[in-house]
Amino acid sequence: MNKQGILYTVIITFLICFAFIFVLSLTDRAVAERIIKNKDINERKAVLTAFGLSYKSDEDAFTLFENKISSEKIKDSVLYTTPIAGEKAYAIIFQGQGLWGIITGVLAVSKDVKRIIGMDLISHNETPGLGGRIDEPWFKNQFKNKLLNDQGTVIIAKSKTTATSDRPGEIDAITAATQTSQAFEKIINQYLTRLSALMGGR
Amino acid sequence: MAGRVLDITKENLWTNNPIFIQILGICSALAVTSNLINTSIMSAGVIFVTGFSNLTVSVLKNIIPRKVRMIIQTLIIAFYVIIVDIFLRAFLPDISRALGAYIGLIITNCIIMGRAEAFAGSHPPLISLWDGLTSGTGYMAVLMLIAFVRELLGYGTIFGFEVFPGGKLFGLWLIFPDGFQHWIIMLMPPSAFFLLGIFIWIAKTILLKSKDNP
Repeated sequence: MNKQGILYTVIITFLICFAFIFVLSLTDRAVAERIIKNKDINERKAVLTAFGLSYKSDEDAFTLFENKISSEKIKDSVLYTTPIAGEKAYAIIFQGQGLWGIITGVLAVSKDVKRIIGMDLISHNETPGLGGRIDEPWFKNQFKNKLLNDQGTVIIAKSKTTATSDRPGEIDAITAATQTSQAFEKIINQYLTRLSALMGGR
Repeated sequence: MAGRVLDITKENLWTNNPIFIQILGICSALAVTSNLINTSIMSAGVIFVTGFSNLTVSVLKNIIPRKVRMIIQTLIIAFYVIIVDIFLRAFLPDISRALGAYIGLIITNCIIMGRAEAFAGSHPPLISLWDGLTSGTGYMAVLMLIAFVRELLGYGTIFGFEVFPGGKLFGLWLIFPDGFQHWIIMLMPPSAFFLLGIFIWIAKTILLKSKDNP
């Protein structure tokens, strides 16, 4: 058969594509369950961290989630809930546009939506070392037990003084990552508004 | 044969280093080198992909029609990149999370296509595998060098470990009298550009000297 002919080219290209894609599909199938499980565990861990519950291992996180956290459907949104200090706290999975890609995470608030209980990230695509620092503990810890301001929102900005931690609704932004900080502020506030609409409507 | 293997190793690591001399694959050299952990995993992925795509291209070279060889090389490279991606997502989810889109971008790394086209297309399988592995290693060596400088000055850490507790180590108080200051520029891609330029300059100077006086 002529190796440069059209027929040979088409048949060989088809066969090679078929063989490679077939192997890929097999591999994907073989580990698909594991990947879904990883994703699930990752989300559970983020919910636990947002509520301020600590765990030691993946299994630990799994059981803790099963025992402590229940989900509730309010209107169209699924909220996670757990009792904290005698009162129900609520968490929602948020998602929004960062500077480079979608930022997903968990935001936990008190029942009256006057206070953020905690925040943890599930995934983001921000620049490592700059916007990517939203995933660092010092940044995320700022959301722990944070009172909101009178508008029920937060402001993420570079502080002129150092004592932002005491003032309601003020969170220190990331140096050299203004756009990520602004995008993140927008996402958080959007979800705070949504949460108060959901909870207020009860 | 043994001599040939040594020659290839020396060429790919030094005298014909993909980044210093061929100036291939610098896109990722700029993008991923802001810290050592990401850089080492990404480069390990590149070594794996260059090695095995070279091997596969070499095995299939006689049955691939010339006019579609490039597109089939791309398919083979994409195949291995997806394998790496699936593997990381299944077994090392935290790292996969940290690297994000970078793994998928291995496919655009010019070194892999370059070696497949320039070497594997005209050499036997095993030596092609070796060529791919060493090319990847030459790439890794340069990236690690850049990442070392960038992480050290940008974060003040090496592989995530603090090296300037209070900023007063290695007599660095001379440079940082008030404690270590992060060099923000080192976290941004342009710094890799400057560093790469400096490294290429040094490497070329040494190489040209040794060429003049053999």
